[in-house]
Amino acid sequence: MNSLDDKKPSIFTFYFFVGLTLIIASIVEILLNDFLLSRLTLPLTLMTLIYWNVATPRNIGFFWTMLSGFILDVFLGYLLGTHVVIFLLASYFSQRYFHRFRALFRLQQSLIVAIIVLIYQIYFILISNYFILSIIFELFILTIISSLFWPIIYGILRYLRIKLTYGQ
Amino acid sequence: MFGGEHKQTDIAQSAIFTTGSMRASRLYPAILFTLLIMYGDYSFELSTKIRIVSSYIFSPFTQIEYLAKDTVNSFSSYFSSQKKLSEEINMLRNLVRDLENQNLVLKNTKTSLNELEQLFDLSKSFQEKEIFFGKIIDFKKFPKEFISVEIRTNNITKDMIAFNAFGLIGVIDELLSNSIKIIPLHDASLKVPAKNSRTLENVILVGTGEPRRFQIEEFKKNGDIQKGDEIVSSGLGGRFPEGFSLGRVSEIEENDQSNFLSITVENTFDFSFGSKVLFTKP
Repeated sequence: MNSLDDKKPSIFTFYFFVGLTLIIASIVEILLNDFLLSRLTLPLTLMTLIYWNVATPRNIGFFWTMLSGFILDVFLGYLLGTHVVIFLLASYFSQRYFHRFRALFRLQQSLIVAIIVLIYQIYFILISNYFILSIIFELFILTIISSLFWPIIYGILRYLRIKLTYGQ
Repeated sequence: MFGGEHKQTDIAQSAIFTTGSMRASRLYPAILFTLLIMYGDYSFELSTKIRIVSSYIFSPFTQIEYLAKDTVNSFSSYFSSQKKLSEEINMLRNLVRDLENQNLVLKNTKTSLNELEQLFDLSKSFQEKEIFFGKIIDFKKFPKEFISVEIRTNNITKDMIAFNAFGLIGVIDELLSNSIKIIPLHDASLKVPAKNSRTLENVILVGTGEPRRFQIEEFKKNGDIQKGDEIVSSGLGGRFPEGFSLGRVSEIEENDQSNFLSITVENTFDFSFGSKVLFTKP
Protein backbone atom coordinates (compact mmCIF):
# COMPACT_ATOMS: atom_id res chain seq x y z
CA MET A 1 0.00 0.00 0.00
CA ASN A 2 2.75 2.33 0.95
CA SER A 3 5.15 1.38 -1.80
CA LEU A 4 6.66 3.94 -4.14
CA ASP A 5 4.84 2.39 -7.08
CA ASP A 6 1.47 3.35 -5.58
CA LYS A 7 2.47 7.00 -5.50
CA LYS A 8 3.87 7.12 -9.01
CA PRO A 9 1.88 9.42 -11.28
CA SER A 10 0.45 8.11 -14.52
CA ILE A 11 2.64 8.24 -17.58
CA PHE A 12 0.34 10.95 -19.02
CA THR A 13 0.75 13.23 -15.99
CA PHE A 14 4.50 12.86 -16.22
CA TYR A 15 4.46 13.32 -19.98
CA PHE A 16 2.47 16.56 -19.68
CA PHE A 17 4.65 17.76 -16.82
CA VAL A 18 7.71 17.39 -19.07
CA GLY A 19 5.90 19.32 -21.81
CA LEU A 20 4.93 22.02 -19.34
CA THR A 21 8.53 22.51 -18.17
CA LEU A 22 9.72 22.68 -21.77
CA ILE A 23 7.07 25.27 -22.67
CA ILE A 24 7.89 27.32 -19.57
CA ALA A 25 11.60 27.13 -20.46
CA SER A 26 10.74 28.32 -24.00
CA ILE A 27 8.71 31.25 -22.67
CA VAL A 28 11.49 32.23 -20.24
CA GLU A 29 14.02 31.96 -23.07
CA ILE A 30 11.88 34.24 -25.29
CA LEU A 31 11.47 36.77 -22.46
CA LEU A 32 15.21 36.61 -21.70
CA ASN A 33 15.95 37.16 -25.37
CA ASP A 34 14.05 40.46 -25.24
CA PHE A 35 15.75 41.35 -21.98
CA LEU A 36 19.32 40.43 -22.97
CA LEU A 37 19.25 42.47 -26.19
CA SER A 38 21.83 40.14 -27.66
CA ARG A 39 21.77 38.32 -30.95
CA LEU A 40 22.13 34.94 -29.24
CA THR A 41 19.96 33.54 -26.47
CA LEU A 42 20.50 31.64 -23.26
CA PRO A 43 19.40 28.14 -24.38
CA LEU A 44 17.27 27.20 -21.37
CA THR A 45 14.97 25.04 -23.50
CA LEU A 46 17.90 23.06 -24.87
CA MET A 47 19.25 22.44 -21.37
CA THR A 48 15.79 21.44 -20.08
CA LEU A 49 15.49 19.10 -23.02
CA ILE A 50 18.88 17.56 -22.31
CA TYR A 51 17.91 17.04 -18.68
CA TRP A 52 14.67 15.24 -19.48
CA ASN A 53 16.28 13.10 -22.16
CA VAL A 54 19.03 12.07 -19.80
CA ALA A 55 16.80 11.67 -16.72
CA THR A 56 13.87 9.79 -18.23
CA PRO A 57 14.82 8.79 -21.78
CA ARG A 58 11.99 6.25 -22.10
CA ASN A 59 9.26 8.76 -21.34
CA ILE A 60 10.38 11.49 -23.68
CA GLY A 61 9.26 11.33 -27.27
CA PHE A 62 9.84 13.87 -29.96
CA PHE A 63 6.48 15.65 -29.63
CA TRP A 64 7.43 18.13 -26.90
CA THR A 65 10.87 18.56 -28.46
CA MET A 66 9.26 19.64 -31.71
CA LEU A 67 6.58 21.76 -30.05
CA SER A 68 9.07 23.72 -27.95
CA GLY A 69 11.28 24.14 -31.02
CA PHE A 70 8.36 25.48 -33.06
CA ILE A 71 7.41 27.87 -30.23
CA LEU A 72 10.96 29.29 -30.23
CA ASP A 73 10.97 29.54 -34.03
CA VAL A 74 7.69 31.41 -34.10
CA PHE A 75 8.48 33.85 -31.31
CA LEU A 76 12.17 34.42 -32.03
CA GLY A 77 11.49 34.97 -35.73
CA TYR A 78 13.36 32.03 -37.26
CA LEU A 79 12.34 29.86 -40.19
CA LEU A 80 9.97 27.19 -38.84
CA GLY A 81 11.97 24.09 -37.94
CA THR A 82 15.32 25.80 -37.32
CA HIS A 83 15.25 25.10 -33.59
CA VAL A 84 13.43 21.81 -34.07
CA VAL A 85 16.22 20.22 -36.12
CA ILE A 86 18.89 20.93 -33.53
CA PHE A 87 16.57 19.94 -30.67
CA LEU A 88 15.83 16.63 -32.36
CA LEU A 89 19.53 15.94 -32.79
CA ALA A 90 20.23 16.95 -29.20
CA SER A 91 17.39 14.67 -28.02
CA TYR A 92 18.65 11.80 -30.11
CA PHE A 93 22.23 12.02 -28.85
CA SER A 94 21.12 12.61 -25.24
CA GLN A 95 18.90 9.52 -25.34
CA ARG A 96 21.60 7.50 -27.07
CA TYR A 97 24.36 8.34 -24.61
CA PHE A 98 22.41 9.05 -21.42
CA HIS A 99 24.22 6.26 -19.52
CA ARG A 100 27.57 7.91 -20.05
CA PHE A 101 26.22 11.38 -19.32
CA ARG A 102 24.62 10.32 -16.05
CA ALA A 103 27.86 8.77 -14.86
CA LEU A 104 29.75 12.04 -15.17
CA PHE A 105 30.38 14.50 -12.36
CA ARG A 106 28.30 17.67 -12.43
CA LEU A 107 31.34 19.69 -13.51
CA GLN A 108 32.00 17.30 -16.37
CA GLN A 109 28.32 17.46 -17.31
CA SER A 110 28.54 21.25 -17.34
CA LEU A 111 31.48 21.02 -19.71
CA ILE A 112 29.58 18.70 -22.06
CA VAL A 113 26.54 21.03 -21.91
CA ALA A 114 28.82 23.99 -22.65
CA ILE A 115 30.13 22.22 -25.75
CA ILE A 116 26.57 21.41 -26.89
CA VAL A 117 25.54 25.04 -26.28
CA LEU A 118 28.61 26.24 -28.20
CA ILE A 119 27.65 24.06 -31.19
CA TYR A 120 24.03 25.25 -30.86
CA GLN A 121 25.05 28.93 -30.85
CA ILE A 122 27.48 28.46 -33.78
CA TYR A 123 24.61 26.82 -35.70
CA PHE A 124 22.52 29.97 -35.22
CA ILE A 125 25.40 32.29 -36.12
CA LEU A 126 25.89 30.31 -39.34
CA ILE A 127 22.16 30.36 -40.10
CA SER A 128 21.76 34.08 -39.51
CA ASN A 129 25.00 34.96 -41.39
CA TYR A 130 25.85 37.33 -38.59
CA PHE A 131 29.62 37.43 -38.47
CA ILE A 132 30.89 40.32 -36.41
CA LEU A 133 33.52 40.46 -33.70
CA SER A 134 31.04 41.14 -30.87
CA ILE A 135 29.13 37.93 -31.66
CA ILE A 136 32.20 35.87 -30.70
CA PHE A 137 32.25 37.65 -27.36
CA GLU A 138 28.51 36.98 -26.94
CA LEU A 139 29.07 33.35 -27.96
CA PHE A 140 31.66 32.67 -25.29
CA ILE A 141 29.90 34.64 -22.56
CA LEU A 142 26.58 32.87 -23.17
CA THR A 143 28.30 29.49 -23.34
CA ILE A 144 29.99 30.09 -19.99
CA ILE A 145 26.73 31.39 -18.46
CA SER A 146 24.89 28.34 -19.82
CA SER A 147 27.40 25.96 -18.27
CA LEU A 148 26.94 27.77 -14.95
CA PHE A 149 23.17 27.47 -15.34
CA TRP A 150 23.31 23.71 -15.93
CA PRO A 151 23.67 22.67 -12.23
CA ILE A 152 20.79 25.00 -11.33
CA ILE A 153 18.50 23.66 -14.06
CA TYR A 154 19.55 20.12 -13.22
CA GLY A 155 18.83 20.69 -9.53
CA ILE A 156 15.44 22.35 -10.04
CA LEU A 157 14.18 19.80 -12.57
CA ARG A 158 15.47 16.89 -10.52
CA TYR A 159 13.73 18.24 -7.45
CA LEU A 160 10.49 18.67 -9.39
CA ARG A 161 10.79 15.21 -10.93
CA ILE A 162 11.30 13.56 -7.55
CA LYS A 163 8.43 15.58 -6.04
CA LEU A 164 6.12 14.52 -8.87
CA THR A 165 7.25 10.91 -8.89
CA TYR A 166 7.50 10.18 -5.18
CA GLY A 167 5.75 13.14 -3.58
CA GLN A 168 8.71 13.70 -1.26
CA MET B 1 19.86 17.88 -3.86
CA PHE B 2 23.20 17.89 -5.65
CA GLY B 3 25.04 15.41 -3.48
CA GLY B 4 24.80 11.66 -3.54
CA GLU B 5 24.35 11.45 -7.26
CA HIS B 6 27.84 10.26 -7.98
CA LYS B 7 27.68 7.31 -5.67
CA GLN B 8 26.04 5.47 -8.46
CA THR B 9 29.20 5.78 -10.57
CA ASP B 10 30.03 2.20 -9.55
CA ILE B 11 26.83 1.02 -11.19
CA ALA B 12 27.40 3.34 -14.07
CA GLN B 13 30.85 1.95 -14.74
CA SER B 14 29.25 -1.09 -16.27
CA ALA B 15 26.76 0.99 -18.17
CA ILE B 16 29.15 3.58 -19.44
CA PHE B 17 29.94 1.68 -22.61
CA THR B 18 26.35 0.87 -23.44
CA THR B 19 24.11 3.04 -25.54
CA GLY B 20 20.45 3.92 -25.05
CA SER B 21 17.64 2.18 -26.83
CA MET B 22 17.10 5.17 -29.08
CA ARG B 23 17.60 4.24 -32.71
CA ALA B 24 18.28 6.60 -35.57
CA SER B 25 15.31 5.14 -37.45
CA ARG B 26 13.04 6.88 -34.93
CA LEU B 27 14.71 10.18 -35.62
CA TYR B 28 14.42 10.15 -39.42
CA PRO B 29 10.60 10.65 -39.70
CA ALA B 30 10.77 13.58 -37.25
CA ILE B 31 13.64 15.18 -39.17
CA LEU B 32 11.80 14.59 -42.46
CA PHE B 33 8.63 16.15 -41.06
CA THR B 34 10.62 19.15 -39.80
CA LEU B 35 12.31 19.61 -43.18
CA LEU B 36 8.86 19.55 -44.81
CA ILE B 37 7.68 22.24 -42.41
CA MET B 38 10.83 24.26 -43.16
CA TYR B 39 10.17 23.95 -46.89
CA GLY B 40 6.52 24.94 -46.34
CA ASP B 41 7.60 27.99 -44.36
CA TYR B 42 10.23 28.95 -46.93
CA SER B 43 7.77 28.62 -49.82
CA PHE B 44 4.49 29.79 -48.32
CA GLU B 45 5.66 31.90 -45.32
CA LEU B 46 3.72 29.72 -42.90
CA SER B 47 5.49 31.21 -39.89
CA THR B 48 4.35 34.73 -40.81
CA LYS B 49 0.74 33.54 -40.81
CA ILE B 50 1.28 31.68 -37.52
CA ARG B 51 2.91 34.78 -35.99
CA ILE B 52 -0.05 36.95 -37.05
CA VAL B 53 -2.56 34.46 -35.62
CA SER B 54 -0.55 33.97 -32.41
CA SER B 55 -0.09 37.71 -31.90
CA TYR B 56 -3.86 38.05 -32.29
CA ILE B 57 -4.50 35.20 -29.83
CA PHE B 58 -1.94 36.39 -27.28
CA SER B 59 -2.75 40.08 -27.61
CA PRO B 60 -4.70 40.09 -24.29
CA PHE B 61 -1.56 38.76 -22.53
CA THR B 62 0.70 41.37 -24.08
CA GLN B 63 -1.71 44.03 -22.87
CA ILE B 64 -1.48 42.77 -19.28
CA GLU B 65 1.71 44.75 -18.64
CA TYR B 66 0.12 48.01 -19.79
CA LEU B 67 -3.14 47.24 -18.02
CA ALA B 68 -1.27 46.60 -14.77
CA LYS B 69 0.71 49.84 -15.14
CA ASP B 70 -2.47 51.82 -15.84
CA THR B 71 -4.24 50.26 -12.88
CA VAL B 72 -1.37 51.01 -10.50
CA ASN B 73 -1.14 54.58 -11.80
CA SER B 74 -4.90 55.06 -11.47
CA PHE B 75 -4.92 53.79 -7.90
CA SER B 76 -1.92 55.78 -6.81
CA SER B 77 -3.20 59.05 -8.24
CA TYR B 78 -6.91 58.68 -7.58
CA PHE B 79 -6.85 59.68 -3.92
CA SER B 80 -4.33 62.46 -4.37
CA SER B 81 -4.21 65.85 -5.99
CA GLN B 82 -2.04 64.27 -8.66
CA LYS B 83 -5.20 63.08 -10.37
CA LYS B 84 -6.48 66.61 -10.86
CA LEU B 85 -3.08 67.80 -11.98
CA SER B 86 -2.62 64.95 -14.42
CA GLU B 87 -6.11 65.58 -15.85
CA GLU B 88 -5.30 69.23 -16.28
CA ILE B 89 -1.97 68.37 -17.92
CA ASN B 90 -3.72 65.96 -20.27
CA MET B 91 -6.33 68.58 -21.12
CA LEU B 92 -3.62 71.17 -21.81
CA ARG B 93 -1.68 68.66 -23.88
CA ASN B 94 -4.76 68.04 -25.99
CA LEU B 95 -5.26 71.78 -26.32
CA VAL B 96 -1.65 72.26 -27.44
CA ARG B 97 -2.04 69.43 -29.95
CA ASP B 98 -5.23 71.01 -31.35
CA LEU B 99 -3.52 74.39 -31.61
CA GLU B 100 -0.53 72.81 -33.36
CA ASN B 101 -2.89 71.19 -35.83
CA GLN B 102 -4.66 74.50 -36.42
CA ASN B 103 -1.30 76.21 -36.88
CA LEU B 104 -0.31 73.61 -39.45
CA VAL B 105 -3.58 74.09 -41.35
CA LEU B 106 -3.12 77.88 -41.33
CA LYS B 107 0.48 77.53 -42.53
CA ASN B 108 -0.67 75.32 -45.39
CA THR B 109 -3.42 77.81 -46.29
CA LYS B 110 -0.90 80.66 -46.21
CA THR B 111 1.48 78.75 -48.52
CA SER B 112 -1.39 77.99 -50.92
CA LEU B 113 -2.51 81.61 -50.92
CA ASN B 114 1.04 82.83 -51.59
CA GLU B 115 1.35 80.36 -54.41
CA LEU B 116 -1.99 81.45 -55.91
CA GLU B 117 -1.00 85.11 -55.56
CA GLN B 118 2.23 84.47 -57.45
CA LEU B 119 0.36 82.52 -60.11
CA PHE B 120 -2.20 85.32 -60.52
CA ASP B 121 0.63 87.86 -60.81
CA LEU B 122 2.10 85.64 -63.47
CA SER B 123 -1.24 85.34 -65.26
CA LYS B 124 -1.39 89.14 -65.69
CA SER B 125 1.37 88.80 -68.27
CA PHE B 126 -0.87 86.54 -70.36
CA GLN B 127 -3.25 89.25 -71.50
CA GLU B 128 -5.93 88.07 -73.93
CA LYS B 129 -4.76 84.50 -73.50
CA GLU B 130 -6.83 81.77 -71.98
CA ILE B 131 -5.40 80.35 -68.79
CA PHE B 132 -6.36 77.18 -66.95
CA PHE B 133 -5.48 75.87 -63.54
CA GLY B 134 -4.75 72.32 -62.49
CA LYS B 135 -4.04 70.63 -59.19
CA ILE B 136 -0.86 68.57 -58.71
CA ILE B 137 -1.86 65.04 -57.68
CA ASP B 138 1.34 63.05 -58.14
CA PHE B 139 5.07 63.47 -58.64
CA LYS B 140 7.29 60.68 -59.97
CA LYS B 141 11.02 60.62 -60.55
CA PHE B 142 11.38 57.18 -62.05
CA PRO B 143 11.64 56.05 -64.83
CA LYS B 144 11.00 59.56 -66.07
CA GLU B 145 10.46 62.70 -64.01
CA PHE B 146 6.94 64.04 -64.35
CA ILE B 147 4.04 65.49 -62.40
CA SER B 148 0.42 64.46 -62.81
CA VAL B 149 -2.04 67.32 -62.71
CA GLU B 150 -5.77 66.96 -62.22
CA ILE B 151 -7.83 69.14 -64.59
CA ARG B 152 -11.53 69.93 -64.83
CA THR B 153 -11.68 71.26 -68.35
CA ASN B 154 -11.40 69.84 -71.84
CA ASN B 155 -9.92 73.01 -73.29
CA ILE B 156 -6.32 72.15 -72.47
CA THR B 157 -4.35 71.17 -75.55
CA LYS B 158 -0.99 69.46 -75.93
CA ASP B 159 0.75 72.60 -77.24
CA MET B 160 0.16 74.44 -73.95
CA ILE B 161 2.95 75.03 -71.47
CA ALA B 162 2.97 74.81 -67.68
CA PHE B 163 3.86 77.40 -65.06
CA ASN B 164 4.07 77.27 -61.30
CA ALA B 165 4.80 80.06 -58.82
CA PHE B 166 8.44 80.15 -60.03
CA GLY B 167 7.58 80.57 -63.70
CA LEU B 168 7.91 78.37 -66.77
CA ILE B 169 8.50 74.80 -65.57
CA GLY B 170 7.53 72.28 -68.22
CA VAL B 171 5.51 71.06 -71.15
CA ILE B 172 2.59 68.69 -71.51
CA ASP B 173 3.75 65.17 -72.26
CA GLU B 174 0.47 63.27 -72.18
CA LEU B 175 -3.20 64.29 -72.06
CA LEU B 176 -5.40 61.85 -70.18
CA SER B 177 -9.16 62.03 -69.54
CA ASN B 178 -9.01 63.90 -66.21
CA SER B 179 -5.32 64.53 -65.78
CA ILE B 180 -2.19 65.63 -67.56
CA LYS B 181 1.40 64.47 -67.35
CA ILE B 182 3.92 67.30 -67.40
CA ILE B 183 7.63 66.78 -68.00
CA PRO B 184 10.10 69.37 -66.71
CA LEU B 185 12.06 71.77 -68.88
CA HIS B 186 15.26 70.05 -67.73
CA ASP B 187 14.12 66.78 -69.35
CA ALA B 188 16.86 65.60 -71.72
CA SER B 189 14.40 65.42 -74.64
CA LEU B 190 13.52 69.14 -74.55
CA LYS B 191 15.18 72.02 -76.39
CA VAL B 192 14.16 75.61 -75.60
CA PRO B 193 14.97 78.52 -77.92
CA ALA B 194 16.46 81.21 -75.70
CA LYS B 195 18.63 84.29 -75.70
CA ASN B 196 21.25 85.88 -73.55
CA SER B 197 19.53 88.92 -72.00
CA ARG B 198 22.86 90.83 -71.93
CA THR B 199 23.99 90.26 -75.52
CA LEU B 200 20.59 89.29 -77.02
CA GLU B 201 22.40 86.42 -78.79
CA ASN B 202 20.09 83.51 -79.59
CA VAL B 203 20.97 80.14 -78.11
CA ILE B 204 19.38 76.72 -77.75
CA LEU B 205 18.95 75.47 -74.20
CA VAL B 206 18.97 71.69 -73.81
CA GLY B 207 17.77 69.82 -70.74
CA THR B 208 20.36 67.68 -68.92
CA GLY B 209 17.93 65.40 -67.12
CA GLU B 210 19.23 66.77 -63.81
CA PRO B 211 16.88 69.08 -61.88
CA ARG B 212 17.44 72.79 -62.56
CA ARG B 213 20.41 72.25 -64.93
CA PHE B 214 20.62 72.96 -68.67
CA GLN B 215 23.34 73.09 -71.31
CA ILE B 216 23.66 75.63 -74.11
CA GLU B 217 23.96 73.78 -77.39
CA GLU B 218 26.83 74.49 -79.77
CA PHE B 219 27.99 77.84 -78.46
CA LYS B 220 31.12 78.87 -80.36
CA LYS B 221 34.36 79.64 -78.52
CA ASN B 222 34.54 83.19 -79.88
CA GLY B 223 30.98 83.98 -78.67
CA ASP B 224 30.32 86.52 -75.93
CA ILE B 225 29.15 84.87 -72.75
CA GLN B 226 29.97 85.31 -69.08
CA LYS B 227 29.18 83.57 -65.84
CA GLY B 228 26.01 85.03 -64.35
CA ASP B 229 24.43 86.00 -67.70
CA GLU B 230 20.67 85.59 -67.55
CA ILE B 231 19.14 83.34 -70.17
CA VAL B 232 15.52 84.05 -71.11
CA SER B 233 13.17 82.34 -73.52
CA SER B 234 13.32 83.91 -77.00
CA GLY B 235 9.91 82.79 -78.21
CA LEU B 236 11.39 81.64 -81.53
CA GLY B 237 9.49 78.75 -83.05
CA GLY B 238 6.36 79.62 -81.09
CA ARG B 239 6.65 76.63 -78.76
CA PHE B 240 7.55 78.73 -75.69
CA PRO B 241 6.54 82.31 -74.85
CA GLU B 242 9.13 85.08 -74.98
CA GLY B 243 10.80 86.75 -72.05
CA PHE B 244 10.60 84.14 -69.29
CA SER B 245 13.72 83.63 -67.25
CA LEU B 246 15.21 80.15 -67.64
CA GLY B 247 18.30 80.51 -65.46
CA ARG B 248 21.79 81.95 -65.23
CA VAL B 249 25.09 80.77 -66.68
CA SER B 250 26.89 78.92 -63.89
CA GLU B 251 29.80 77.15 -65.62
CA ILE B 252 31.77 77.72 -68.80
CA GLU B 253 34.22 75.01 -69.82
CA GLU B 254 36.59 75.04 -72.74
CA ASN B 255 37.69 71.86 -74.46
CA ASP B 256 40.75 71.87 -76.77
CA GLN B 257 39.29 69.13 -78.93
CA SER B 258 36.04 70.98 -79.65
CA ASN B 259 35.13 74.24 -81.34
CA PHE B 260 32.31 74.80 -78.89
CA LEU B 261 32.12 75.79 -75.27
CA SER B 262 30.39 73.61 -72.70
CA ILE B 263 28.06 76.01 -70.89
CA THR B 264 25.88 75.08 -67.94
CA VAL B 265 22.81 77.12 -67.04
CA GLU B 266 21.17 76.71 -63.67
CA ASN B 267 18.00 78.03 -62.13
CA THR B 268 16.29 77.71 -58.78
CA PHE B 269 12.91 76.57 -60.06
CA ASP B 270 11.50 73.61 -58.22
CA PHE B 271 9.57 71.52 -60.72
CA SER B 272 7.40 69.80 -58.14
CA PHE B 273 6.82 72.90 -56.00
CA GLY B 274 3.35 73.79 -54.72
CA SER B 275 -0.04 72.36 -55.47
CA LYS B 276 -1.26 74.37 -58.47
CA VAL B 277 -0.13 74.59 -62.09
CA LEU B 278 -1.18 77.16 -64.64
CA PHE B 279 -1.57 76.29 -68.33
CA THR B 280 -1.61 78.65 -71.25
CA LYS B 281 -0.74 78.76 -74.92
CA PRO B 282 2.65 80.25 -75.72
